[in-house]
Amino acid sequence: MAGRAGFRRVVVGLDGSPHSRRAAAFLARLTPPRGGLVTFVRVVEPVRVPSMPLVPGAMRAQIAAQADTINQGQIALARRHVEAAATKLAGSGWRARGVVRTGQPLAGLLGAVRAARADVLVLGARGAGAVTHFLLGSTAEAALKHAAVPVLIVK
Amino acid sequence: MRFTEILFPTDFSSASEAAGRIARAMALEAGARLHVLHVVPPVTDPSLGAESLTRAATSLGDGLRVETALLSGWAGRNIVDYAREKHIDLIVLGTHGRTGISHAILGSVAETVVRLAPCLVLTVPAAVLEPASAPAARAPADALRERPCLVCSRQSDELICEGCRAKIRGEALEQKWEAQRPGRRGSPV
Repeated sequence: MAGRAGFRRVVVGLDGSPHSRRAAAFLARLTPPRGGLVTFVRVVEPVRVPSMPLVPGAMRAQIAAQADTINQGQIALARRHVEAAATKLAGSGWRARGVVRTGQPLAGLLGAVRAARADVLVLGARGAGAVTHFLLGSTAEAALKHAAVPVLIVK
Repeated sequence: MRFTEILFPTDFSSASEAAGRIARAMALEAGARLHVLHVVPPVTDPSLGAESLTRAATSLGDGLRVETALLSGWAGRNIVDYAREKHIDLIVLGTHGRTGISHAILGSVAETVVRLAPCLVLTVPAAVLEPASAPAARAPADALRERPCLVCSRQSDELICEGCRAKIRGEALEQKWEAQRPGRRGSPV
């Protein structure tokens, strides 16, 4: 698929859902083009602690520390996830790497596309969000509307 | 994975051009059959699109196995049904744009196809350039991105870097305050 169509730099959005795993597996079945580089991206939405002005300082600090621990844990998990995906794909002959970003999922994905100067963004049709019965995940739908590069939706 | 059947639905608009080029390139690489489909809106004479469809198939089909289809009805639903019927592996679909009034721009056809298609869907924004010319076309944009700041000459994404902009804003604000200082001629006391 990739070579002639000019898809050498590929960004794959992962979120742990079966469809995103299929997106990664799909690439493994393609013949890598010369210089092909795949970037697996997982965007972690950090837990934010509200300002809580009426809560005593010590308690606020404790809550903030717990939120920080959760965030660090999520980031570490995401890093392991993207690195595992990259290692697996490297076995198929692609150059692959994993990137973890924090923030809003769509902004993180599009930021990764820009940073990698990607030629194509690959996403699973349905995400890991709470509403899984929709035929298209909200992030995939938003990416279709806002991405400046072709978007491949894997089902 | 091998694609054997690739579908390129087209409305002959400029938004479909980039998608057509990519569909052709992918079909060539995979040795797949390229289906070029046009759906004529309901209550329109179907023969209107026939000539354009033949032209599109001729321009895209050099060295490829091409199948054309002209259907009548609602585009999104017809494209999905055609994909099911012909066991299409990949639909390459042009979309109108990138940012702005997003829902209108993605288009209801593209949205229906992406949601209901039984296979992979590749959406190609109209702004995507021809792959072969993409690196050359990107060069000026990259050069612009990496140019030095006009004020301090440090590398910056913008013509004037963020630091210098803040400094200029600060200086302008100071001048404004100075000009409006009470007691100055022409200013309120």
